[in-house]
Amino acid sequence: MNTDTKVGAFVIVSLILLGATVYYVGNKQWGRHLTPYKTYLRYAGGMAPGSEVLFGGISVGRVTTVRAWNEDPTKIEILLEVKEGTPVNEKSVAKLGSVSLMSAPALSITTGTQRASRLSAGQVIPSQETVSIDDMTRKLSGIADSAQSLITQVQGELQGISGRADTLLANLNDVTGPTNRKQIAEILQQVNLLVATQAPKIDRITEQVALVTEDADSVVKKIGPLVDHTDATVANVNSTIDQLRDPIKQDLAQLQSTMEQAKSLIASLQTVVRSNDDNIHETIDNIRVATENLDQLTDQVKQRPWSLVRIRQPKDRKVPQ
Amino acid sequence: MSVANKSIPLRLLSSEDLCISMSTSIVERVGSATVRHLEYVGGLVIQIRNAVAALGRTLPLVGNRNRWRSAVGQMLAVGVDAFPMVGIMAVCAGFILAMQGASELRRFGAMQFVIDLVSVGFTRELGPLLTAIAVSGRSGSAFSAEIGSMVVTEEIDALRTMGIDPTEFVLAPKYLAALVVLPCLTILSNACGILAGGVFMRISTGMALSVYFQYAAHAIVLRDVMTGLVKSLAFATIIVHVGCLEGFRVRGGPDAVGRSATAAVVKSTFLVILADVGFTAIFYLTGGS
Repeated sequence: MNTDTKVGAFVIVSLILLGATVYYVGNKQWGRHLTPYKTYLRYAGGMAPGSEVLFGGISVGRVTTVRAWNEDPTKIEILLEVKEGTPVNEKSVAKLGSVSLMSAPALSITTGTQRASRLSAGQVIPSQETVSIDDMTRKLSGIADSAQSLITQVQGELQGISGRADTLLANLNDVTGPTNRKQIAEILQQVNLLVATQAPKIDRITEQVALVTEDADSVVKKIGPLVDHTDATVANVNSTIDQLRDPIKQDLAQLQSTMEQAKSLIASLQTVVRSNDDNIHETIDNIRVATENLDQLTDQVKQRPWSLVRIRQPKDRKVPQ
Repeated sequence: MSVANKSIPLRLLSSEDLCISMSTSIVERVGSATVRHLEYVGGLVIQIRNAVAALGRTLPLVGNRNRWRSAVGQMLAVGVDAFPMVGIMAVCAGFILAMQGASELRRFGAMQFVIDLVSVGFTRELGPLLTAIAVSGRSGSAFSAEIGSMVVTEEIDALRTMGIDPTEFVLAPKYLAALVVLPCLTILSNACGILAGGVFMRISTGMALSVYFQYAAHAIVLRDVMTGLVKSLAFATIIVHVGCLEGFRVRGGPDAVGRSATAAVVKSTFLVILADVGFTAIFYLTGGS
């Protein structure tokens, strides 16, 4: 192999390697079709252009811009680009995340739901705020403060408890001291003596108890049929009550409905009476006047019964002679 | 009153006089060193300008003399012959970087970042730097020794006498060769280093090489590759011109040739690292590399 061939092979191999690298990396960097989206967060957590975008934990794109939002300065506008075909939908939620503790912050998008419609390019992905490390630190310091006071309190109580435990142990030592042990030994000896002397009596009592138990068995046998009868009676009563339960319930329901109707009728009547209160008074006055007139008419009819059929009083008929 | 008739009395130097003398000496030294270095840098710049102007006449174009044949020979010497050494150095450095990174990152369960470390580290920094140092030690000294010998044997003067520009005849082919082969060597060095990282990951975690290369391609961006190549071009310029300038400045006998070769290696390595710092700072400030 001559000089030219060696140099040529060397340069060609290098150029092929460079070309392959440039093609692969450049294609990865610029050649893909990307879909832009945006989202808004109140806390961006150190996110920067180039930060990874994860969809369901898979790397699908990069953050392109992070800036304060002009329309609402309390929010940060994050523009991102994801691979074409990534199923970002209306139920997907963008939040601050990271792959591991060591990695840079990433924008994590949840997969949403299957039925939700896909977001088109440029639309806003709903976001969810993440608790910042400052907030967590603040909460932890609060917990630490309360834990400190708790520990102090527990320490105080522990001292009291340990003091009481010391007293208890001292008392226990006293109780289990040689004097008490001697006394307990004597008591046990007396108990032994007692048991030895009372053993025949106890045997007799036991025999009597056995006899009584045998008698009790015969009583139980006699009581058995009575209990069966009682059970049958109770069963009959139960069945009767079961049979009557539904009709009684129906009657009660009807009665309840009747009472409700009566109640409503009375209420209507009350309404009628209230609304016609003046008319009733007038009617009663009229009836009274009518009654007086009838009374007067009755008197007239009594006094002049002929007036019912005649205008003038007819002459009295002469009694025939 | 005549000055010639006045006798100057002898006296001991006071401490004040000593201080003035010492401070004058320090200032003089600093001044002379500054002038010397500026002169060196000026010579380097003039040489680079002349070499760039002569590059066109070295290319294999119609009407040019056959200087490119010499350039091809230099490509073989500087690039092809240096590849085994550069490749082995890159493989070793890749293993070292991967192992050192893994020993720390393993504790955090972040072994996958070894891939990023090796890929980005080699593409941006280690590939060009290792290649430059290897070429500086191997070829920079050779350039200096070759040209120094020509100076000592008055071949350069003979060229000038014949009306041949020594820059075009001696320096330009070397410069052209270095400009071509140093980026190539850098690319191969990057490949070897990244491959070594892949072998390490295969051994330590069982990761397939194809997966490793996917991760590596994901870690680097085109800007990293380009900055590495730009650096390698700058390093080629430094190595060739420092080596050749040291050769052209040889004065005296053969012992001066040896000194110039040593100076060429030391100065070119130093300047390569300085240039690397400058480039890294520029790329960092202009784009986050």
